[in-house]
Amino acid sequence: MNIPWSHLWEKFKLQVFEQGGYHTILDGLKNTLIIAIGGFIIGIILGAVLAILQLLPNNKVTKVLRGFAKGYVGVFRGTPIVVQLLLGWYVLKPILGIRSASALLWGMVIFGMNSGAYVSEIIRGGILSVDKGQMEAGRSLGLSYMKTMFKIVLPQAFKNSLPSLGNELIAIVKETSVAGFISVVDLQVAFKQQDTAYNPIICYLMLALVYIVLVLLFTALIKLIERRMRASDNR
Amino acid sequence: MKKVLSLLAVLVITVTCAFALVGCGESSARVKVIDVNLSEIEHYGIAVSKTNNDLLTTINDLLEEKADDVDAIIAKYIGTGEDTETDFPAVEGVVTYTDSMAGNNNYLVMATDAPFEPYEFRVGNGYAGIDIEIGKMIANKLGKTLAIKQTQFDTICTVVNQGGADIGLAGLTITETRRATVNFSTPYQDAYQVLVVPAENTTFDNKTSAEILEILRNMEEGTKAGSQAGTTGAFFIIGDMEDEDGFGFEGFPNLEYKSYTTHADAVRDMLNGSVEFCVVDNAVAKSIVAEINKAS
Repeated sequence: MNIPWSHLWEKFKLQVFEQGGYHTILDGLKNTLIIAIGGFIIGIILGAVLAILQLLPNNKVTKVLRGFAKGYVGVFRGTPIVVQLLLGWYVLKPILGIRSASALLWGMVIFGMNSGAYVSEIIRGGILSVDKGQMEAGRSLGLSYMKTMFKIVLPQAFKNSLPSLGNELIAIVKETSVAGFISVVDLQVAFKQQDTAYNPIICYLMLALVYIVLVLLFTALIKLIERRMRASDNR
Repeated sequence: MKKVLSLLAVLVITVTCAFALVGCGESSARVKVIDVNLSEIEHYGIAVSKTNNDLLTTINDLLEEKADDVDAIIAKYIGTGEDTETDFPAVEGVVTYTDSMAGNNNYLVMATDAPFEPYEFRVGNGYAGIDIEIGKMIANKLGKTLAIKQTQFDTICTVVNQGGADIGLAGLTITETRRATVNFSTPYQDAYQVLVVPAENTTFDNKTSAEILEILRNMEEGTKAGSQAGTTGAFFIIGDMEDEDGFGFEGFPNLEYKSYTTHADAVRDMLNGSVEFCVVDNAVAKSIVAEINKAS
Protein backbone atom coordinates (compact mmCIF):
# COMPACT_ATOMS: atom_id res chain seq x y z
CA MET A 1 0.00 0.00 0.00
CA ASN A 2 1.35 3.32 -0.98
CA ILE A 3 -0.90 6.02 0.46
CA PRO A 4 0.81 9.38 1.05
CA TRP A 5 -1.46 10.34 3.91
CA SER A 6 0.22 13.58 4.94
CA HIS A 7 0.37 14.84 1.35
CA LEU A 8 -3.31 14.06 0.77
CA TRP A 9 -4.27 15.64 4.07
CA GLU A 10 -2.33 18.81 3.19
CA LYS A 11 -4.07 19.07 -0.18
CA PHE A 12 -7.47 18.44 1.43
CA LYS A 13 -6.91 21.15 4.02
CA LEU A 14 -5.72 23.55 1.33
CA GLN A 15 -8.70 22.96 -0.95
CA VAL A 16 -11.44 22.76 1.64
CA PHE A 17 -10.42 25.19 4.36
CA GLU A 18 -7.87 27.66 3.07
CA GLN A 19 -9.27 28.08 -0.43
CA GLY A 20 -12.90 27.99 0.64
CA GLY A 21 -14.06 24.63 -0.69
CA TYR A 22 -16.14 24.23 2.46
CA HIS A 23 -18.80 26.49 0.90
CA THR A 24 -19.54 23.75 -1.62
CA ILE A 25 -19.70 21.17 1.16
CA LEU A 26 -22.13 23.32 3.15
CA ASP A 27 -24.30 23.73 0.04
CA GLY A 28 -24.16 19.98 -0.44
CA LEU A 29 -25.19 19.43 3.16
CA LYS A 30 -28.09 21.86 2.73
CA ASN A 31 -29.30 20.06 -0.40
CA THR A 32 -28.96 16.64 1.23
CA LEU A 33 -31.02 17.76 4.23
CA ILE A 34 -33.68 19.40 2.04
CA ILE A 35 -34.12 16.22 0.01
CA ALA A 36 -33.99 13.93 3.05
CA ILE A 37 -36.33 15.83 5.36
CA GLY A 38 -38.66 17.03 2.61
CA GLY A 39 -38.78 13.53 1.16
CA PHE A 40 -39.43 12.03 4.58
CA ILE A 41 -42.36 14.36 5.24
CA ILE A 42 -43.87 13.64 1.82
CA GLY A 43 -43.25 9.96 2.50
CA ILE A 44 -45.09 10.00 5.82
CA ILE A 45 -48.15 11.75 4.42
CA LEU A 46 -48.20 9.50 1.36
CA GLY A 47 -47.48 6.42 3.44
CA ALA A 48 -50.30 7.13 5.88
CA VAL A 49 -52.75 7.58 2.98
CA LEU A 50 -51.58 4.39 1.26
CA ALA A 51 -51.75 2.41 4.51
CA ILE A 52 -55.32 3.50 5.17
CA LEU A 53 -56.29 2.78 1.57
CA GLN A 54 -54.97 -0.75 1.92
CA LEU A 55 -56.92 -1.32 5.13
CA LEU A 56 -60.31 -0.04 3.98
CA PRO A 57 -63.12 -2.50 4.65
CA ASN A 58 -63.80 -4.73 1.66
CA ASN A 59 -66.43 -3.60 -0.79
CA LYS A 60 -66.69 -2.98 -4.52
CA VAL A 61 -65.82 0.72 -4.36
CA THR A 62 -62.81 0.31 -2.18
CA LYS A 63 -61.53 -2.55 -4.36
CA VAL A 64 -60.11 -0.04 -6.86
CA LEU A 65 -58.53 2.08 -4.15
CA ARG A 66 -57.01 -0.92 -2.42
CA GLY A 67 -55.70 -2.23 -5.72
CA PHE A 68 -54.14 1.13 -6.55
CA ALA A 69 -52.42 1.31 -3.17
CA LYS A 70 -51.04 -2.20 -3.47
CA GLY A 71 -49.87 -1.50 -7.03
CA TYR A 72 -48.16 1.73 -6.03
CA VAL A 73 -46.30 0.02 -3.20
CA GLY A 74 -45.32 -2.82 -5.51
CA VAL A 75 -43.85 -0.51 -8.19
CA PHE A 76 -41.99 1.82 -5.86
CA ARG A 77 -40.59 -0.94 -3.74
CA GLY A 78 -39.82 -3.04 -6.78
CA THR A 79 -37.47 -0.59 -8.49
CA PRO A 80 -34.20 0.86 -7.21
CA ILE A 81 -34.29 4.54 -6.23
CA VAL A 82 -31.64 5.29 -8.85
CA VAL A 83 -33.90 3.92 -11.58
CA GLN A 84 -36.80 5.98 -10.25
CA LEU A 85 -34.67 9.13 -10.28
CA LEU A 86 -33.45 8.50 -13.82
CA LEU A 87 -36.93 7.65 -15.13
CA GLY A 88 -38.54 10.63 -13.42
CA TRP A 89 -35.95 13.17 -14.56
CA TYR A 90 -34.76 11.91 -17.95
CA VAL A 91 -37.91 10.21 -19.21
CA LEU A 92 -41.03 11.62 -17.52
CA LYS A 93 -39.96 15.27 -17.49
CA PRO A 94 -39.24 15.48 -21.26
CA ILE A 95 -42.43 13.53 -22.00
CA LEU A 96 -44.38 16.11 -20.02
CA GLY A 97 -42.60 18.75 -22.07
CA ILE A 98 -41.07 20.53 -19.09
CA ARG A 99 -37.79 22.17 -20.14
CA SER A 100 -36.59 23.87 -17.02
CA ALA A 101 -37.29 22.51 -13.58
CA SER A 102 -35.59 22.29 -10.22
CA ALA A 103 -33.68 19.03 -9.92
CA LEU A 104 -33.64 19.52 -6.17
CA LEU A 105 -37.44 19.66 -5.92
CA TRP A 106 -37.96 16.81 -8.37
CA GLY A 107 -35.44 14.75 -6.44
CA MET A 108 -37.21 15.51 -3.18
CA VAL A 109 -40.58 14.48 -4.61
CA ILE A 110 -39.21 11.27 -6.12
CA PHE A 111 -37.52 10.36 -2.84
CA GLY A 112 -40.82 11.14 -1.10
CA MET A 113 -42.76 8.89 -3.47
CA ASN A 114 -40.26 6.08 -2.94
CA SER A 115 -40.30 6.52 0.80
CA GLY A 116 -44.11 6.60 0.84
CA ALA A 117 -44.19 2.99 -0.34
CA TYR A 118 -41.94 1.80 2.47
CA VAL A 119 -43.58 4.01 5.10
CA SER A 120 -47.02 2.71 4.10
CA GLU A 121 -45.91 -0.78 5.12
CA ILE A 122 -44.52 0.54 8.39
CA ILE A 123 -47.70 2.41 9.24
CA ARG A 124 -49.87 -0.47 8.08
CA GLY A 125 -48.04 -2.65 10.57
CA GLY A 126 -48.50 0.04 13.20
CA ILE A 127 -52.23 0.24 12.54
CA LEU A 128 -52.62 -3.52 12.67
CA SER A 129 -50.82 -3.59 16.00
CA VAL A 130 -53.40 -1.31 17.58
CA ASP A 131 -55.93 -3.33 19.51
CA LYS A 132 -59.02 -4.08 17.39
CA GLY A 133 -61.04 -2.97 20.37
CA GLN A 134 -60.05 0.64 19.72
CA MET A 135 -61.78 0.70 16.32
CA GLU A 136 -64.80 -1.15 17.76
CA ALA A 137 -65.02 1.28 20.67
CA GLY A 138 -64.82 4.27 18.38
CA ARG A 139 -67.49 2.95 16.03
CA SER A 140 -69.76 2.02 18.92
CA LEU A 141 -69.49 5.60 20.15
CA GLY A 142 -71.01 6.72 16.87
CA LEU A 143 -67.85 7.91 15.09
CA SER A 144 -67.48 7.12 11.39
CA TYR A 145 -64.76 4.76 10.15
CA MET A 146 -62.62 7.65 8.94
CA LYS A 147 -63.05 9.69 12.13
CA THR A 148 -62.09 6.72 14.31
CA MET A 149 -59.14 6.00 12.09
CA PHE A 150 -57.75 9.52 12.16
CA LYS A 151 -58.53 10.49 15.75
CA ILE A 152 -58.07 7.23 17.66
CA VAL A 153 -56.25 4.53 15.75
CA LEU A 154 -53.72 6.51 13.70
CA PRO A 155 -52.13 8.41 16.60
CA GLN A 156 -51.57 5.13 18.43
CA ALA A 157 -50.29 3.54 15.26
CA PHE A 158 -47.74 6.34 14.87
CA LYS A 159 -46.45 5.83 18.36
CA ASN A 160 -46.00 2.13 17.69
CA SER A 161 -44.27 2.78 14.38
CA LEU A 162 -41.82 5.39 15.68
CA PRO A 163 -38.75 3.16 15.87
CA SER A 164 -39.31 1.93 12.30
CA LEU A 165 -40.07 5.44 11.04
CA GLY A 166 -36.86 6.65 12.60
CA ASN A 167 -35.09 3.87 10.74
CA GLU A 168 -36.69 5.06 7.49
CA LEU A 169 -35.54 8.64 8.08
CA ILE A 170 -31.97 7.47 8.57
CA ALA A 171 -32.23 5.29 5.47
CA ILE A 172 -33.41 8.26 3.38
CA VAL A 173 -30.57 10.49 4.56
CA LYS A 174 -28.09 7.94 3.24
CA GLU A 175 -30.05 7.16 0.06
CA THR A 176 -29.81 10.80 -0.99
CA SER A 177 -26.19 10.11 -1.86
CA VAL A 178 -27.32 9.08 -5.36
CA ALA A 179 -29.01 12.40 -6.07
CA GLY A 180 -25.93 13.24 -8.13
CA PHE A 181 -27.44 11.21 -10.95
CA ILE A 182 -29.87 14.06 -11.66
CA SER A 183 -27.38 16.90 -11.32
CA VAL A 184 -28.11 17.71 -7.69
CA VAL A 185 -25.00 18.79 -5.82
CA ASP A 186 -25.49 16.79 -2.63
CA LEU A 187 -23.00 15.90 0.08
CA GLN A 188 -21.42 13.06 -1.91
CA VAL A 189 -20.92 15.16 -5.07
CA ALA A 190 -19.61 18.07 -3.01
CA PHE A 191 -16.94 15.88 -1.39
CA LYS A 192 -16.07 14.19 -4.69
CA GLN A 193 -15.30 17.61 -6.14
CA GLN A 194 -12.82 18.38 -3.35
CA ASP A 195 -10.36 15.78 -4.66
CA THR A 196 -7.43 17.76 -6.05
CA ALA A 197 -4.79 15.06 -5.76
CA TYR A 198 -6.14 12.35 -8.06
CA ASN A 199 -6.76 10.41 -4.87
CA PRO A 200 -10.17 10.81 -3.26
CA ILE A 201 -9.45 8.67 -0.18
CA ILE A 202 -9.47 11.52 2.35
CA CYS A 203 -12.52 13.12 0.71
CA TYR A 204 -14.53 9.92 0.99
CA LEU A 205 -13.35 9.23 4.55
CA MET A 206 -14.53 12.71 5.53
CA LEU A 207 -17.80 12.10 3.70
CA ALA A 208 -18.36 8.90 5.68
CA LEU A 209 -17.62 10.79 8.90
CA VAL A 210 -20.18 13.48 8.07
CA TYR A 211 -22.84 10.86 7.33
CA ILE A 212 -22.10 9.08 10.63
CA VAL A 213 -22.43 12.34 12.56
CA LEU A 214 -25.66 13.22 10.73
CA VAL A 215 -27.16 9.82 11.49
CA LEU A 216 -26.10 10.03 15.14
CA LEU A 217 -27.82 13.41 15.43
CA PHE A 218 -31.00 12.10 13.84
CA THR A 219 -30.93 9.01 16.07
CA ALA A 220 -30.69 11.18 19.18
CA LEU A 221 -33.58 13.32 17.93
CA ILE A 222 -35.73 10.24 17.27
CA LYS A 223 -34.97 8.80 20.71
CA LEU A 224 -36.03 12.08 22.26
CA ILE A 225 -39.34 12.04 20.37
CA GLU A 226 -39.96 8.42 21.31
CA ARG A 227 -39.36 9.15 24.96
CA ARG A 228 -41.75 12.11 24.95
CA MET A 229 -44.49 10.11 23.26
CA ARG A 230 -44.06 7.24 25.70
CA ALA A 231 -44.44 9.55 28.69
CA SER A 232 -48.09 8.58 28.93
CA ASP A 233 -47.40 4.85 29.01
CA ASN A 234 -46.47 2.88 32.10
CA ARG A 235 -43.34 1.21 30.80
CA MET B 1 -12.74 -19.11 26.25
CA LYS B 2 -14.86 -17.06 23.81
CA LYS B 3 -13.71 -13.81 25.39
CA VAL B 4 -10.08 -14.80 25.11
CA LEU B 5 -10.51 -15.78 21.44
CA SER B 6 -12.29 -12.57 20.51
CA LEU B 7 -9.70 -10.46 22.32
CA LEU B 8 -7.00 -12.33 20.44
CA ALA B 9 -8.78 -11.70 17.14
CA VAL B 10 -9.02 -7.96 17.84
CA LEU B 11 -5.32 -7.84 18.71
CA VAL B 12 -4.31 -9.66 15.53
CA ILE B 13 -6.46 -7.38 13.36
CA THR B 14 -5.15 -4.21 14.99
CA VAL B 15 -1.53 -5.26 14.62
CA THR B 16 -2.06 -6.28 10.98
CA CYS B 17 -3.69 -2.94 10.18
CA ALA B 18 -0.88 -1.07 11.88
CA PHE B 19 1.70 -2.93 9.83
CA ALA B 20 -0.25 -2.46 6.62
CA LEU B 21 -0.47 1.27 7.09
CA VAL B 22 3.09 1.82 8.21
CA GLY B 23 5.13 -1.07 6.89
CA CYS B 24 4.76 -1.00 3.11
CA GLY B 25 5.39 1.82 0.71
CA GLU B 26 9.13 1.66 0.46
CA SER B 27 9.02 1.16 -3.33
CA SER B 28 9.49 4.17 -5.61
CA ALA B 29 6.32 6.18 -6.01
CA ARG B 30 7.23 8.09 -9.15
CA VAL B 31 5.73 7.61 -12.60
CA LYS B 32 6.34 9.01 -16.03
CA VAL B 33 4.56 9.52 -19.33
CA ILE B 34 5.90 7.97 -22.51
CA ASP B 35 4.79 10.83 -24.73
CA VAL B 36 4.46 8.94 -28.00
CA ASN B 37 1.21 8.89 -29.94
CA LEU B 38 -0.09 5.32 -29.93
CA SER B 39 -3.50 5.82 -31.45
CA GLU B 40 -5.58 7.64 -33.95
CA ILE B 41 -6.22 11.21 -32.97
CA GLU B 42 -9.46 11.76 -31.08
CA HIS B 43 -11.18 15.08 -31.07
CA TYR B 44 -12.69 16.87 -28.11
CA GLY B 45 -15.70 19.02 -28.94
CA ILE B 46 -18.33 21.18 -27.31
CA ALA B 47 -21.81 19.67 -27.17
CA VAL B 48 -24.69 21.93 -28.17
CA SER B 49 -28.40 21.17 -28.43
CA LYS B 50 -29.60 20.28 -31.93
CA THR B 51 -32.17 23.06 -31.78
CA ASN B 52 -29.65 25.77 -30.94
CA ASN B 53 -27.88 26.37 -34.24
CA ASP B 54 -27.19 30.05 -33.53
CA LEU B 55 -25.14 29.15 -30.49
CA LEU B 56 -23.28 26.50 -32.48
CA THR B 57 -22.37 29.04 -35.18
CA THR B 58 -21.21 31.58 -32.59
CA ILE B 59 -19.04 28.96 -30.89
CA ASN B 60 -17.46 27.73 -34.11
CA ASP B 61 -16.69 31.29 -35.21
CA LEU B 62 -15.19 32.05 -31.82
CA LEU B 63 -13.02 28.90 -31.83
CA GLU B 64 -11.67 29.88 -35.23
CA GLU B 65 -11.10 33.52 -34.33
CA LYS B 66 -9.45 32.75 -31.01
CA ALA B 67 -7.57 29.59 -32.01
CA ASP B 68 -4.30 30.95 -30.58
CA ASP B 69 -5.90 31.73 -27.24
CA VAL B 70 -7.31 28.22 -27.05
CA ASP B 71 -3.86 26.75 -27.75
CA ALA B 72 -2.37 28.97 -25.05
CA ILE B 73 -4.95 27.75 -22.53
CA ILE B 74 -4.16 24.14 -23.37
CA ALA B 75 -0.42 24.69 -23.10
CA LYS B 76 -0.86 26.40 -19.77
CA TYR B 77 -2.65 23.44 -18.25
CA ILE B 78 -0.79 20.54 -19.81
CA GLY B 79 2.93 21.16 -20.14
CA THR B 80 5.08 18.11 -20.85
CA GLY B 81 4.43 15.84 -17.87
CA GLU B 82 7.65 16.68 -16.05
CA ASP B 83 6.89 20.34 -15.64
CA THR B 84 3.11 20.19 -15.70
CA GLU B 85 1.77 22.75 -13.30
CA THR B 86 -0.84 21.45 -10.91
CA ASP B 87 -1.72 24.53 -8.91
CA PHE B 88 -3.96 26.98 -10.67
CA PRO B 89 -6.04 29.90 -9.43
CA ALA B 90 -9.79 29.77 -9.81
CA VAL B 91 -11.11 31.38 -13.01
CA GLU B 92 -12.75 34.69 -12.19
CA GLY B 93 -16.45 35.30 -12.60
CA VAL B 94 -17.50 31.67 -12.83
CA VAL B 95 -20.43 30.66 -10.67
CA THR B 96 -22.11 27.42 -9.66
CA TYR B 97 -25.49 26.78 -11.23
CA THR B 98 -28.49 27.17 -8.95
CA ASP B 99 -32.11 26.42 -9.77
CA SER B 100 -32.97 30.11 -9.79
CA MET B 101 -30.85 30.51 -12.93
CA ALA B 102 -33.08 28.26 -15.01
CA GLY B 103 -34.47 30.19 -17.97
CA ASN B 104 -32.43 33.28 -17.07
CA ASN B 105 -30.74 34.51 -20.21
CA ASN B 106 -27.92 36.23 -18.35
CA TYR B 107 -26.30 32.88 -17.67
CA LEU B 108 -24.57 30.46 -19.98
CA VAL B 109 -25.12 27.09 -18.33
CA MET B 110 -22.31 24.59 -18.89
CA ALA B 111 -22.74 20.92 -18.03
CA THR B 112 -19.54 19.28 -16.84
CA ASP B 113 -18.28 16.62 -14.45
CA ALA B 114 -15.64 17.80 -11.99
CA PRO B 115 -13.04 16.79 -11.00
CA PHE B 116 -11.41 15.80 -14.27
CA GLU B 117 -8.02 17.45 -14.30
CA PRO B 118 -6.84 19.26 -16.34
CA TYR B 119 -10.19 19.97 -18.01
CA GLU B 120 -12.39 20.92 -15.09
CA PHE B 121 -11.63 20.88 -11.39
CA ARG B 122 -12.41 22.88 -8.31
CA VAL B 123 -10.14 25.39 -6.68
CA GLY B 124 -11.70 26.25 -3.34
CA ASN B 125 -15.22 27.37 -4.13
CA GLY B 126 -14.33 28.25 -7.73
CA TYR B 127 -13.35 26.38 -10.86
CA ALA B 128 -10.33 26.06 -13.13
CA GLY B 129 -9.33 24.00 -16.14
CA ILE B 130 -9.19 24.00 -19.93
CA ASP B 131 -12.93 23.50 -20.37
CA ILE B 132 -13.75 26.14 -17.77
CA GLU B 133 -11.58 28.73 -19.49
CA ILE B 134 -13.03 27.97 -22.92
CA GLY B 135 -16.52 28.19 -21.43
CA LYS B 136 -15.61 31.56 -19.94
CA MET B 137 -14.43 32.72 -23.35
CA ILE B 138 -17.78 31.77 -24.92
CA ALA B 139 -19.72 33.39 -22.08
CA ASN B 140 -17.74 36.61 -22.45
CA LYS B 141 -18.47 36.67 -26.17
CA LEU B 142 -22.19 36.35 -25.45
CA GLY B 143 -22.09 38.85 -22.61
CA LYS B 144 -23.29 36.27 -20.10
CA THR B 145 -22.02 34.80 -16.86
CA LEU B 146 -20.73 31.24 -16.94
CA ALA B 147 -22.68 28.94 -14.61
CA ILE B 148 -21.31 25.45 -14.03
CA LYS B 149 -23.82 22.62 -13.67
CA GLN B 150 -22.28 19.52 -12.14
CA THR B 151 -23.60 16.58 -14.18
CA GLN B 152 -22.76 12.88 -14.23
CA PHE B 153 -20.48 12.42 -17.27
CA ASP B 154 -22.63 9.79 -19.03
CA THR B 155 -25.65 12.08 -18.83
CA ILE B 156 -24.07 15.27 -20.14
CA CYS B 157 -25.26 14.79 -23.72
CA THR B 158 -28.78 13.95 -22.52
CA VAL B 159 -28.87 17.04 -20.31
CA VAL B 160 -27.75 19.32 -23.17
CA ASN B 161 -30.28 17.69 -25.49
CA GLN B 162 -33.11 18.25 -22.99
CA GLY B 163 -32.24 21.88 -22.35
CA GLY B 164 -30.87 21.44 -18.85
CA ALA B 165 -27.67 23.15 -20.00
CA ASP B 166 -26.69 25.35 -22.94
CA ILE B 167 -23.37 23.64 -23.65
CA GLY B 168 -21.55 20.51 -22.60
CA LEU B 169 -17.81 20.85 -22.10
CA ALA B 170 -16.12 17.94 -20.33
CA GLY B 171 -13.32 16.50 -22.39
CA LEU B 172 -16.08 15.00 -24.55
CA THR B 173 -14.76 12.98 -27.45
CA ILE B 174 -16.75 13.51 -30.62
CA THR B 175 -18.31 10.17 -31.58
CA GLU B 176 -21.04 9.18 -34.02
CA THR B 177 -23.09 7.72 -31.19
CA ARG B 178 -23.08 11.02 -29.34
CA ARG B 179 -23.86 12.90 -32.57
CA ALA B 180 -27.28 11.23 -32.48
CA THR B 181 -28.15 13.25 -29.38
CA VAL B 182 -26.25 16.52 -29.73
CA ASN B 183 -24.36 18.62 -32.24
CA PHE B 184 -20.66 19.18 -31.71
CA SER B 185 -18.57 22.27 -32.38
CA THR B 186 -15.38 22.07 -34.39
CA PRO B 187 -12.78 20.25 -32.26
CA TYR B 188 -10.92 22.41 -29.78
CA GLN B 189 -8.33 19.82 -28.91
CA ASP B 190 -6.92 16.60 -30.24
CA ALA B 191 -6.07 13.77 -27.93
CA TYR B 192 -4.12 10.58 -28.33
CA GLN B 193 -3.27 7.63 -26.14
CA VAL B 194 0.06 7.33 -24.32
CA LEU B 195 1.65 4.92 -21.87
CA VAL B 196 2.15 5.69 -18.20
CA VAL B 197 4.87 3.61 -16.54
CA PRO B 198 6.82 3.58 -13.26
CA ALA B 199 9.70 6.08 -13.39
CA GLU B 200 12.43 3.45 -13.26
CA ASN B 201 10.99 1.48 -16.22
CA THR B 202 13.18 2.02 -19.30
CA THR B 203 11.55 -0.45 -21.69
CA PHE B 204 9.80 2.24 -23.69
CA ASP B 205 12.30 5.09 -23.48
CA ASN B 206 13.29 6.77 -26.74
CA LYS B 207 11.25 4.49 -28.94
CA THR B 208 9.01 5.42 -31.84
CA SER B 209 5.35 4.61 -31.94
CA ALA B 210 5.89 1.61 -34.22
CA GLU B 211 8.65 0.25 -31.95
CA ILE B 212 6.48 0.58 -28.87
CA LEU B 213 3.60 -1.23 -30.55
CA GLU B 214 6.03 -4.00 -31.48
CA ILE B 215 7.24 -4.30 -27.89
CA LEU B 216 3.64 -4.50 -26.70
CA ARG B 217 2.83 -7.24 -29.19
CA ASN B 218 5.81 -9.28 -28.03
CA MET B 219 5.21 -8.89 -24.33
CA GLU B 220 4.92 -12.00 -22.21
CA GLU B 221 1.51 -13.63 -22.25
CA GLY B 222 -0.64 -12.39 -19.39
CA THR B 223 1.15 -9.11 -18.82
CA LYS B 224 -1.32 -6.79 -17.15
CA ALA B 225 -2.28 -3.41 -18.55
CA GLY B 226 -4.70 -0.98 -16.89
CA SER B 227 -7.06 1.75 -18.07
CA GLN B 228 -10.33 3.42 -17.18
CA ALA B 229 -13.37 1.36 -18.16
CA GLY B 230 -15.05 2.40 -21.41
CA THR B 231 -12.32 4.79 -22.52
CA THR B 232 -10.26 4.76 -25.68
CA GLY B 233 -7.36 3.45 -23.62
CA ALA B 234 -9.38 0.41 -22.67
CA PHE B 235 -10.27 -0.30 -26.31
CA PHE B 236 -6.63 0.15 -27.26
CA ILE B 237 -5.73 -2.79 -25.04
CA ILE B 238 -8.74 -5.00 -25.72
CA GLY B 239 -9.39 -4.11 -29.35
CA ASP B 240 -12.70 -3.05 -30.91
CA MET B 241 -12.62 -4.48 -34.44
CA GLU B 242 -16.17 -5.75 -34.04
CA ASP B 243 -17.52 -2.20 -33.69
CA GLU B 244 -18.05 -0.49 -37.07
CA ASP B 245 -18.09 2.97 -35.50
CA GLY B 246 -15.11 2.12 -33.35
CA PHE B 247 -11.47 3.09 -33.43
CA GLY B 248 -10.28 0.08 -35.38
CA PHE B 249 -7.94 -1.13 -32.65
CA GLU B 250 -6.74 -4.68 -33.07
CA GLY B 251 -5.94 -4.94 -29.40
CA PHE B 252 -3.28 -7.10 -27.82
CA PRO B 253 -4.39 -10.67 -27.13
CA ASN B 254 -1.23 -11.31 -25.13
CA LEU B 255 -2.07 -8.57 -22.63
CA GLU B 256 -4.49 -8.97 -19.77
CA TYR B 257 -6.73 -5.92 -19.36
CA LYS B 258 -7.51 -4.64 -15.87
CA SER B 259 -10.43 -2.27 -15.60
CA TYR B 260 -10.59 0.76 -13.31
CA THR B 261 -13.16 3.44 -12.47
CA THR B 262 -10.72 6.23 -13.24
CA HIS B 263 -7.33 6.52 -14.94
CA ALA B 264 -5.87 7.76 -11.66
CA ASP B 265 -6.93 4.54 -9.94
CA ALA B 266 -5.11 2.55 -12.62
CA VAL B 267 -1.90 4.57 -12.23
CA ARG B 268 -1.96 4.28 -8.45
CA ASP B 269 -2.58 0.54 -8.66
CA MET B 270 0.37 0.31 -11.04
CA LEU B 271 2.54 1.59 -8.19
CA ASN B 272 1.24 -1.34 -6.13
CA GLY B 273 2.47 -3.69 -8.83
CA SER B 274 -0.97 -4.77 -10.02
CA VAL B 275 -0.33 -3.74 -13.64
CA GLU B 276 2.79 -3.23 -15.73
CA PHE B 277 1.63 -0.04 -17.43
CA CYS B 278 -1.45 2.09 -18.11
CA VAL B 279 -2.93 3.52 -21.30
CA VAL B 280 -4.30 7.04 -20.81
CA ASP B 281 -5.24 10.15 -22.83
CA ASN B 282 -2.10 12.32 -23.13
CA ALA B 283 -3.45 15.41 -21.36
CA VAL B 284 -4.95 13.51 -18.46
CA ALA B 285 -1.80 11.36 -18.26
CA LYS B 286 0.45 14.37 -17.82
CA SER B 287 -1.81 15.81 -15.15
CA ILE B 288 -1.99 12.55 -13.20
CA VAL B 289 1.77 12.01 -13.41
CA ALA B 290 2.56 15.53 -12.23
CA GLU B 291 0.18 15.21 -9.30
CA ILE B 292 1.30 11.75 -8.18
CA ASN B 293 4.96 12.70 -8.40
CA LYS B 294 4.27 15.64 -6.15
CA ALA B 295 3.11 13.24 -3.48
CA SER B 296 6.32 11.23 -3.34
